[in-house]
Amino acid sequence: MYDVLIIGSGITGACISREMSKYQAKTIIIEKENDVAQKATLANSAIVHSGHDPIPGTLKAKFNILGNRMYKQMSEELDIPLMECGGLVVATTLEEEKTLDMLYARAFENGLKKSEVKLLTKDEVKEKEPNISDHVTKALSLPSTSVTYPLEAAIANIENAMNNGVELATNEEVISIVKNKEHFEVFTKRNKYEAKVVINASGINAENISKMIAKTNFTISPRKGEYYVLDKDVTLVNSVIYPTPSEKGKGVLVTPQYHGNTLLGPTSEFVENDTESTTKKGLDYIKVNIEKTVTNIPYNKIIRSFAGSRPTPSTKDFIIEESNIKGFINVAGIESPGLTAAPAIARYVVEGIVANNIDLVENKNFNPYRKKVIRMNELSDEEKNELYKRDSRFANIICRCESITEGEIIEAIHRNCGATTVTGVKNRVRAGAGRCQGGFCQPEVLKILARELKIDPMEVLYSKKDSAILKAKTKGE
Amino acid sequence: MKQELICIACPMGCHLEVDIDDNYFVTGNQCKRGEIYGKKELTNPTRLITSTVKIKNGINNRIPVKSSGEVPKDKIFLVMKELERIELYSPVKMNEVVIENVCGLGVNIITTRSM
Amino acid sequence: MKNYDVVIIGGGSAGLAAALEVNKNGVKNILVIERDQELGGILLQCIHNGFGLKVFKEELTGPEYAERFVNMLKEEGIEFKLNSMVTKINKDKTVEYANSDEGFIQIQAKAIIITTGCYERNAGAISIPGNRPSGVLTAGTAQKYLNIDGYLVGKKVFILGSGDIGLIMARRMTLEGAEVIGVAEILPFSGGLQRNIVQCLEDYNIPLYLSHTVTEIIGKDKIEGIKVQKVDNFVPVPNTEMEFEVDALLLSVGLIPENGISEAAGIELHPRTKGPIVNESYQTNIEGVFACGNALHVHDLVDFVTTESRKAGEKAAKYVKGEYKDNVERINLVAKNGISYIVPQMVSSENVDKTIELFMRVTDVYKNVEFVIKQDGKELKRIKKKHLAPAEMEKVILTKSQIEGANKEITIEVEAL
Repeated sequence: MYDVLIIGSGITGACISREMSKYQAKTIIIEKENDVAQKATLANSAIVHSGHDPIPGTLKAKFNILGNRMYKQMSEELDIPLMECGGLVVATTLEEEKTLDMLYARAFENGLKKSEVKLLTKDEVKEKEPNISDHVTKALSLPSTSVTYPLEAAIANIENAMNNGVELATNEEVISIVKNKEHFEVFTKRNKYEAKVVINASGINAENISKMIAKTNFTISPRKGEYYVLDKDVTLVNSVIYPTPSEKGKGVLVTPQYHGNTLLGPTSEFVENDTESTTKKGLDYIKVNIEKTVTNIPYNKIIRSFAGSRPTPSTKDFIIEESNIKGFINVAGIESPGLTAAPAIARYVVEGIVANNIDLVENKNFNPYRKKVIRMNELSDEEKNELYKRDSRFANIICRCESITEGEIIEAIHRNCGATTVTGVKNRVRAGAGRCQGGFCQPEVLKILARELKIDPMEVLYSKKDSAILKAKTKGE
Repeated sequence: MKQELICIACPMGCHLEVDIDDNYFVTGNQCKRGEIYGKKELTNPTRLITSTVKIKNGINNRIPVKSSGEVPKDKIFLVMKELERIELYSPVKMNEVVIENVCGLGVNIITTRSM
Repeated sequence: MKNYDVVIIGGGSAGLAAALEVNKNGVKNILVIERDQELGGILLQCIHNGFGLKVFKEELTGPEYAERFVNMLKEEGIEFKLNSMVTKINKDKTVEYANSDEGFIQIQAKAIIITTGCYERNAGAISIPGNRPSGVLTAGTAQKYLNIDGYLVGKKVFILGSGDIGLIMARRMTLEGAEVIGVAEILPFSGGLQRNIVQCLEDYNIPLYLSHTVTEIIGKDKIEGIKVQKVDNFVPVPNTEMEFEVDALLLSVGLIPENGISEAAGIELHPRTKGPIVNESYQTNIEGVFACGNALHVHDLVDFVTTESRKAGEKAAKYVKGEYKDNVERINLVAKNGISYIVPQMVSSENVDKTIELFMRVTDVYKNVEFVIKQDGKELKRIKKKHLAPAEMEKVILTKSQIEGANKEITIEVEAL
């Protein structure tokens, strides 16, 4: 019997799992995919928003600001990449300038400090951002805007939670939930789990999961966003460039990424099933709309495109509440600024809702720190050689584009919440994320995975279930 | 009748013209091999086979091999089948014979590297 | 810090030939650094024949060609390091590399030759709309799995792009029991050698769809099919869609010189070749740093890589011996109408003995045309060409006096007869 069962391992579920690990409660997080955080958390702009945008008084506004203020500490404790690059909302017309003024006022209303909001003239913008378009006339500067690596943020939270006693089960798709007198029975395709409290943090599936047991007054619609990724040798912008928002949404952003790449996007389109495919229309839309804010875009430096879907709620605000069934908690519709808000949401869910259902006793052994991830690229030569002396595999470079060593790959496999697939390795340590996109290192990574997981090379998966790379042996073997 | 061909004797890819009525007289070639190819391609087409065979204890699981000479086009898959039963043990030298007179075609299968 | 006269980055066909030539020219303190577990480079996975006709006057497979060079290198006692990745080169010609025997090491070279080869354009760079399922691989990666490790990445395969590796892989996979459904090429002509179209596709009745491309990848987690469409000037033509069920899509959509470390060192690259801009001596804009082989520009024949790399090796040796003149006037070699690029991009007659070979590619398929070579706009000579294609590298030889006859530039263009 678990005290708390969390459905979904995206950034929301991940942060809740870590928050739960601060208490002496038996907690499990279950995930339907074969790796954590594979949906909205994997494919988004990676921005820790300042909190200037949400409508005052909403949960989005409240948790955005709170979450933003928690990120720095979280990133230090859990060794999560955080680039404090700031953001600029740029206006190109008089009408947009009016919207900027409105956002300026709203930022304060939402609780941003004086030092966190500033209006810039065209010249000031140009000085900060040489590639800004000539159409830009004015900008709202938001220095508390940062960029993180969302997948690692989720992994780090879960890994830390696991180190503090939380369990993780992947490949567990929930098919039904029932409540017996005192506890819930959560049935997956393979198992049955019993828990006193169930937290529904299942992103796009949150409506369906909620309907399995509770009265559900909201709907969740997948809203797809497509992106282009530019090679990391391009420095197009120094800070996050937001266009002025309109009724149509936040618009197409230019976002520098922690690892040096630049994202162009997203689009915003409601879809039914097709939640992760890029379209010619979408990608063309980015090209057309991006030029409004930024110029000199080197399209020949595009190394990849991708799409992800955000769980957009019918209520237009986050849904964070205990349902009509006591102990069944919905944390749904966590679209933007969900990545920013997640740590604050998690604290509220645990302290404000879970605590009403079970007794939470502090876990005295809780260690807030995650063992630092070894990133050879960020080390000095002496530090590198120090590591090499400990384990020579830290000098065996497997991915030449990103200079990732065998030692780093092995670590990524064996840590809690470790990689089990080629894409899992890439998402954790960037082996195969460079310009050749794994052309050279994929066969090597595959061999390392097979060896470390003690499986046959033909069983090594590219990413999802049933995605083996090698289909047959030659020569009748 | 004249037949146009692209010479595959080497990567140059000469554009040949073979006069079938004039005893397969070849023009457009830049070397003797083109002349031979042009005639043979229209009378008895043959190809060199390159593939791999299994190897144990080597740095790789497969070692590359080739036929020491060309084999008739329609016998290629027959030879491929023969390669399946071969398993070598490292060390092996380059150009060692793996199958002699493969499928009775008068050519050998030889390794194309040492391992 | 250990000192070397010449450090060669990459032990593939270019690096091996360059090293041997440096050695032959009397400079003996050489180091070849190779990232793989053995010397030979990509030749080791190119198990097909077609190599060596120019260099060895006989037709060899890739591994045979490589082994001959490796044997020569070993006979000469040239030092090499395996499983070693160069992470950085610096303007002062220090070279940083890492391996699990020595750790992270820095060495000092008098001259560096960049022979890092090339990498394949991949699914990311061509942005095919759709999901990102498994089963989409570059042809070269599939080739490594097949020829080195003995695995097929698919049993029902389509190939996008008619580059040579794609064509070769169509035959290899067919021979190993896979069904190759077709090859699509977005251009109206193939990017591979004619001979490979004959012996890799036509021999096995594999259709080549020219002016076609893959417009959609079907399948969410793993590839299940593809949509192929006719294109008119790169734009898909409506109602020409064909759908194929596949379990793998191989991409053979071009090779790009690998210059990660060169770029980081401040070496200037050419926008068309994507390799370093070099002079007649294959020297880059950094004095004492040379480049050759596929890292310089993508070749279609290894024999040309060898010839080019021998020259680069010779020049690097001369540089070390102080026989190379860097501070001399140079004229530009300019690609005009119909020519995509010329390598080298500039030349000084001072460092040319008698003649110099210029390598170039054309922009389109041409029949019965002429190369027109001009000195400062004044016609110098014409060379008749029966057949030209972008896939086939062309060569023009200039004499020392022809270079001396130009003040500013020598241009080459294609003109109809």
